[in-house]
Amino acid sequence: MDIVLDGVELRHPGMEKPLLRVPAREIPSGTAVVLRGASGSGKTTLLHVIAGLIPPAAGSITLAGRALATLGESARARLRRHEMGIVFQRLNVLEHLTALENVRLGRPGVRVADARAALDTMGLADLAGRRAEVLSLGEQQRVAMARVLAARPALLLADEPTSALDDTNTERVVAALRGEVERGCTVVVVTHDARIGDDFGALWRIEDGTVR
Amino acid sequence: MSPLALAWIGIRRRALSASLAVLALAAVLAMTDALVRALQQEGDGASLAPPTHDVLIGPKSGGLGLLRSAARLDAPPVDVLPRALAHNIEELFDVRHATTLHVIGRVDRWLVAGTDDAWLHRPPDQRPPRIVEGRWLRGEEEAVVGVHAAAALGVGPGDTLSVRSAPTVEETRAAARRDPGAARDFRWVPVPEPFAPRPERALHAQRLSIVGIADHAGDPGDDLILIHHDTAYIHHHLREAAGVARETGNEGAFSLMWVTLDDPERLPALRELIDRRSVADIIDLHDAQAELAALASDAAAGARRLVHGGFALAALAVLLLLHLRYEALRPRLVVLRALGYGRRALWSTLALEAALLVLLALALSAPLRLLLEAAAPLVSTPGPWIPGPQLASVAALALLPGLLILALRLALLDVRDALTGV
Repeated sequence: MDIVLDGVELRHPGMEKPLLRVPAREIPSGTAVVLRGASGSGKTTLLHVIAGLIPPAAGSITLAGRALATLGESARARLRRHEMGIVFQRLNVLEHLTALENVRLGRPGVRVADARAALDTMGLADLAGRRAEVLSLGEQQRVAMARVLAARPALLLADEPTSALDDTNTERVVAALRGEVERGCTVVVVTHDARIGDDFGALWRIEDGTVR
Repeated sequence: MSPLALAWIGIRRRALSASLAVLALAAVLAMTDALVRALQQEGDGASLAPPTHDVLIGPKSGGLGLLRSAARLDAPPVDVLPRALAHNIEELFDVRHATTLHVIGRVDRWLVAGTDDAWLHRPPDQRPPRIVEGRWLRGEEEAVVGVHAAAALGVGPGDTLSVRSAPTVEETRAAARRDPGAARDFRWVPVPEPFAPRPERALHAQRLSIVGIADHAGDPGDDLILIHHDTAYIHHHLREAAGVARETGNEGAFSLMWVTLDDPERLPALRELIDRRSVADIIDLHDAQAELAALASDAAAGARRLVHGGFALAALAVLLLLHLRYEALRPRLVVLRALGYGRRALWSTLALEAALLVLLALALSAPLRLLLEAAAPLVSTPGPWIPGPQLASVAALALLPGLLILALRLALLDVRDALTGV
């Protein structure tokens, strides 16, 4: 899924000055972008804007030729459900569901075998039947990653997907993200983590409130 | 996963809170249903046919007590009046029909009462009993049993019944307290005239032959064991001689007397005759029915308010349940919404969860209501084990406000606000 951002501005409510400006940018289908920037610079907000969760203060975003501004809330929700995979920083899982059940939530019709395979990729095969509420934060983060992998989305948005992971699991996640890019998925990763190398994809840096 | 699967998992994984919610809701539904059924039964009672007699005469018991005794025959007057009074009434007034009952005790829970042919030969408009097996009373050692009592006791014509007349220990002690000289050893009470030649009757128990089964068409008479007035009097006399029953003279006694006058204009005179006696009471059955109808109407209005309160409570319980559930689930709903779940899918999940809880509560409410009815009877006929459509409607109505609020809250769920920190 290719993404086109054109003059996008993000602004906190009640503030005159934009939080973040994104000059005209394009992310071709099947490529990856690493978005880096200081805390509070608007990385997560930009990710939410691309996901259609928040409208930009100005500018437009087009996903696979569809301008988000022209889509209603339900259409944007359908887009997320059927074509996107999102890994949030927190609150990634439903605590009363098992890891396997959480993975199956990623997309309608995810088969149990695919869900198990995704958990296995994330090194969680043994925890498939365990409820999310007893999993560690890192395990929950990997469950969220497995959910995205099982859904096989066209666009993968990951917000600090390795923030709670050790080196081994970070390698797993990075390998999985590379695998998604190879499959043809567009991947946008927001991260501070140097373990996700700048060579992972196109590097976008936020400096002085502008994506460079 | 489907909304139904998510709903079921939501309940199963929160078994304790779900069970408590189901129990509370089932209790509210059970109480509401019991009230509705009591109200209906009250309505059925109020629509009974008009009284077939003009007046009811019996020992003084505060009017309403006498009426209740006569209407249900499950708690007869403890006192009696001399049968001479009944004879006087029949002779002095233009009586179209009069019938008396003299209650002397019970066999199991079924009342034993002396009566005469007048009981059987009530005019057609006064719902006479029908002998469905055997025949009516002829002898003093015979009994005719009402259909309910016969079915419960498993007896029919040719069987026998043992009727006890011995005072209980409590009765004897109470009599001794009232008048230490009056209470006597029951075994030494002489058999009165005209029964003296048959001293064997002064036994503690008398065996009576059942000669017939009487169908009173649902009237409380179906619960009676009817015996000859004279037989009843022997038992009464023995109790009288033992000091535990009122002395009534040799003509016998009666507990209740129903009278229909040929000329209703004579009613004031009859009332005056009875009112002169400090021990007797007279009730105009037509007036009483009107008063009872008014009372029943007031009671029904109160019960209706209670029922509405029950409905409101059930709805409030579901509302609270859904509200708490929504609050608890809000972070998860945000995650699901962010993942692209539509509002309708989320509402379906929560609505199905609530509906499943209500269904479980509905299933539990029927046995709960039977327990409730056993502990605090509101109705005389227990309801079925399976909840009926009425209760299902109450449950569905109770669910409605909760679902509406849920839909409203989901409509107002702002993913942007909710995503703070996500």
